[in-house]
Formats: sequence, structure tokens, C-alpha cells
Amino acid sequence: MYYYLYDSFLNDKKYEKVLDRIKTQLLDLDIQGKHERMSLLKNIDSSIDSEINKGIKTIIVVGNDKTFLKAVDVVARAGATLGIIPIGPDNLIAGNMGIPEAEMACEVIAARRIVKFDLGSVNNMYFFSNIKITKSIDRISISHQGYKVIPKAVCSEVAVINCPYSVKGLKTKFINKVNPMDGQLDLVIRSKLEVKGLKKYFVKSNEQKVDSIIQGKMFEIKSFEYLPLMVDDYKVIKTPVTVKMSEKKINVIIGKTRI
Amino acid sequence: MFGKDNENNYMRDENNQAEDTIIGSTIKIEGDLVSNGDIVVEGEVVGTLKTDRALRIGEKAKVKADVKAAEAFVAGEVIGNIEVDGKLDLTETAVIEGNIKAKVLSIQSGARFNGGCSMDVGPQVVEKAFSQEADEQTIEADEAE
Repeated sequence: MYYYLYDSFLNDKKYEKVLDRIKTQLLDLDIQGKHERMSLLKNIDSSIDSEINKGIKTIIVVGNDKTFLKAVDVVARAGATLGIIPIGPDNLIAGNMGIPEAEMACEVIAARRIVKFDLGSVNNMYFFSNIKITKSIDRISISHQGYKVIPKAVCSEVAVINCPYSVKGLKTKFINKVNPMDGQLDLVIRSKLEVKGLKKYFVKSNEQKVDSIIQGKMFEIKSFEYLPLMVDDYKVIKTPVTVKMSEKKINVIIGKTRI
Repeated sequence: MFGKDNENNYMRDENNQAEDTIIGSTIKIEGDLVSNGDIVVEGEVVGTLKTDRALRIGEKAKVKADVKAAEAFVAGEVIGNIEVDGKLDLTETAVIEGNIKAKVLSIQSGARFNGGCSMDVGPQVVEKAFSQEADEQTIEADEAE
């Protein structure tokens, strides 16, 4: 039995047709289940939790990267399997996992090719992609295996990455390097790309370059004051935190053409 | 790993063989950095630096640490002792204040080096050198007879 959870942005009328096509395709492939839409009043955690308690073992989220990332913590805790039917923009995770968009993803779901991905944990919460800090970076220090990493003020982002698929601005070679199945987290420090010559007076560049990469299983992030940290691009927590590679893994349905 | 092509820019590696640890110019490391993979240092390190594999210290890097590696390429500043199991390359921009221990040493003209240097040739190499010398002496003695 499957549980299909639709993100609230799909309540928009423009998605009606594509959602109908998906439902028809699911019917054709005989992978029916309970369908539910998220709303402002319906929390993703409680919705999934109540269905898992009823015995459902496969959760399929319909939406984008954020929908997928929000479901990771609760699905991982229950040891269930997670899949995604991507709709709309911001679907880098599905793209990298070889899952085509909308109704075409239903065949991948039906094929049930399951892979175990690593999970990071921070303050007793699991994360799939990354945790990052972008403000007052020169006020933090990161302890790792007997040494301290002290970023300078020119750094624009400090991130601990488990899976790089949804991290924007990373080049393919770094996406391949930061493996979500190697049992390691990667501390990635980025700085703003300098615009040289006359261009700097006219162009404001937001491009970042990867400056440092340190692999490890545990990083402690401390700061002089409480600083906000973004977990998986949807939840904000505050320093100090201990970021660890979790022993728990998450089962994810992927396509044949995964990177 | 330390070919001339990627001497100045490790990010240029197109074969996705990026190093295990990259210490960029925007961070400082304080403490004992021990790794079993390759290390690239472009920033500051204070403490100790150890790896079982290759180490590259970039031109702008400042290292105040005792360094140990399987092989090393130094273009920056190192204040501390360097111990390398294999080859140690010092480029023209290298500044070393400390003792060096390496099997093979290459110093480009322009490099600054203040300290002692020992090259451990190993017992096998010494034995070979002695046996060659002994052979030569025997041949000379035979010829004299």
C-alpha cells in the first residue's frame, strides 16, 4: 500500500491536469494507495506519521526538492521507503536520481528500484541534503578530529553536506565527489567569486566558488552568539550544534539513470 | 597528483579526482590535522599536519606546523620540520624554516631553506653501494695482478 502526499503548492489550478494524468497512470500501473494534499493546517510529519502507524511502508511525495526533504526525517525514523513524483521547477534531487517529471515518474515508482542513502543528524533530527550557515561566518568555529577550522570573513557559506543533489551552484565534479553513500559528511566552505577589472563596478556577482572541502563523520559548530543554521533548506536551528553521520539510512526509490 | 598542469589550480582537475582535504585560502586550521588521504593547503595551518599520502602546500599558504607525508610539494611558507617518506619538491617560491627529512629532494633555484637536511638512504641502498665498491676493488686488484 502506498501513501501519496501532494505538496500545498499543487493546489493551484494550473496543476490540475498534470495531477489527473498522474492519478490515471498510477491506476494503469496498479500502484494505487491513499492520496492526500498538504495544506497550511496539515503538517507533513503528522500526516506521514499517522499513515505509517496504520501500516503503510511506502511514502510517495508529489512536489519538489523541499517536499522530499521535509519528508525525510519522519520517514527515516519509521524505516519506511520514500519516493518522489517531481512536478514543477526546483527538482534537482529527482533529476539526479534519474526520476523523470510528472506522470513519467510513475513507472519508476512501479519499478521500485530501492537504494539506501546516508543520513546526517543534527540535534536529534535527520537531514538528507545539507545544513548551512550564511551569516556572521567569521564568528563560528568548527571542531573536527582534534583540530579547529576557523573561517575568515570573506567566506560566504559554510555547509555540511551529505547529499549534494539539491545544493545550488555546485559544479558536477563536486557533486560526484560529495557522495551520499560513502558514509562521510563533507564540510564545504564557499566564498564569493571575485569580479575582476572594470566589471566589478557594474556587475554584482552572486556566484560562489568552493574554497575548502574536509571530509569527516562529525563536526561541532560553535559560535560566540546564537547564529541561525538552515537544515535541508526548510528548518532553522541555532548554534551550537553537533552534526554527525547517522548510522541510520533511508530507503529511496530511484530511476535507472541515477548519477 | 602534483604535475605541472595542476600546479597552480587544483580545481582544474577534470577527472573528478579532487583531493580528500582541501584547505582553502579563506580558512585557518588550528590543531592536529591527520588524514589518510591527499591534502591541499592554500590557507593557514597551525599545529601539526600529517598524511599517509600526498601533500601540496600552495604558494600563498602559511604553515606553522610539523609536517609528515608520503610525498610533498611545497610552494608556500612552512615554519616547522618536514618529514617525507618519498619525494619532497620545493619550488622557487617555497620558504622553509626547519629541518627536512626526505628520500628524494628537489629544490628549485630561488627557494629559501634555513635548517638541517637529512636524506635517509636506507640499509639496502648502503649495502648495494658497499658491494659495488668491493666489486670494483676486486676488479682493480685482478687487473694489477
